[in-house]
Amino acid sequence: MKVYKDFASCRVSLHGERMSGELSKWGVLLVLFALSACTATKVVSPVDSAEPTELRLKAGDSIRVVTKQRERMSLEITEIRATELAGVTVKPASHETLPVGQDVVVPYADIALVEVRRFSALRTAAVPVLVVLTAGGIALATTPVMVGP
Amino acid sequence: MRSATAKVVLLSGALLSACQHHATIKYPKLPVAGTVEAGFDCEKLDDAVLKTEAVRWVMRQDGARLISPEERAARTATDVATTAVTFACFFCFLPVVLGDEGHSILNIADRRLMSLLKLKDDKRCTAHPTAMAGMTDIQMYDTVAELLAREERKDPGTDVGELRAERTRLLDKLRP
Repeated sequence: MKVYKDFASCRVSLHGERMSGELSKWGVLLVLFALSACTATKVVSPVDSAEPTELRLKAGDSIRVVTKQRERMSLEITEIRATELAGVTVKPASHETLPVGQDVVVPYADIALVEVRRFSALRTAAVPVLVVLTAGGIALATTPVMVGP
Repeated sequence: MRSATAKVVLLSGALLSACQHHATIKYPKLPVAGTVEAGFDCEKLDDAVLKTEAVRWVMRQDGARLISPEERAARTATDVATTAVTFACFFCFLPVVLGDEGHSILNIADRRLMSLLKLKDDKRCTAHPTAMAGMTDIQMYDTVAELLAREERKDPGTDVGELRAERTRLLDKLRP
């Protein structure tokens, strides 16, 4: 049976007898992981003037903020203070006007919306797995299976 | 095969470019004012209105708009096509916009804004001017509430699209 033979060749490759093929497979997987370095985006619209603790903001986080004065900015947090956060603006996104490298202080009371993006290991791992499973599924579906002696 | 793929890409591009709403930021879920906001004093309510209005303004800046039920139904085909493209392209993590045009999120923002203004009205808070000449925020609340009521009554001959357009025109001018 051809299907069995394919599985067998996989097993052989795990034992190192098809090293170049094995390396290229791992290479493809690594590229998939690199390409799919995913982030998870969280966003809140605070109802009070306290720190939006649900986001667990910390120095180094890249965030995007909309204030109640209708200011939009992207910044990297440098310090979390009791009533405000301090940061430095990064490359402005669409509709943002503050230039890169400007020191800003945003009082929590002014935040209408804050978005934080962080690396997500789960999402990053999920994409290559999904791709591999899909490719495997397609391969199995399109491989002719010969049954019988 | 290549020509078929090119056609799909071109068609999808045309469909996507037809959409005016492109979210440039993730929008938060804006709940209708509840028990927390009911406990707010007038100053805090005004603050909540400002924040909600700012988020709504971002949506509007991104091109979100309310659409009529007929328009929504006509966009079903676009939804199917864009969803297919999203699934077909594993690494295209572009914010693919469905044919909703931001209607749902904008409608939710409008409802929160209205619920906050209702609380202001109930608590007899001081009315503030709007960008509409001679109209305060409380008067705007009354007018928009009537539009919403007419929309929900679905009276014969009512143009829901017109009512929604008018609601948007008014709420866009809530801030002076």
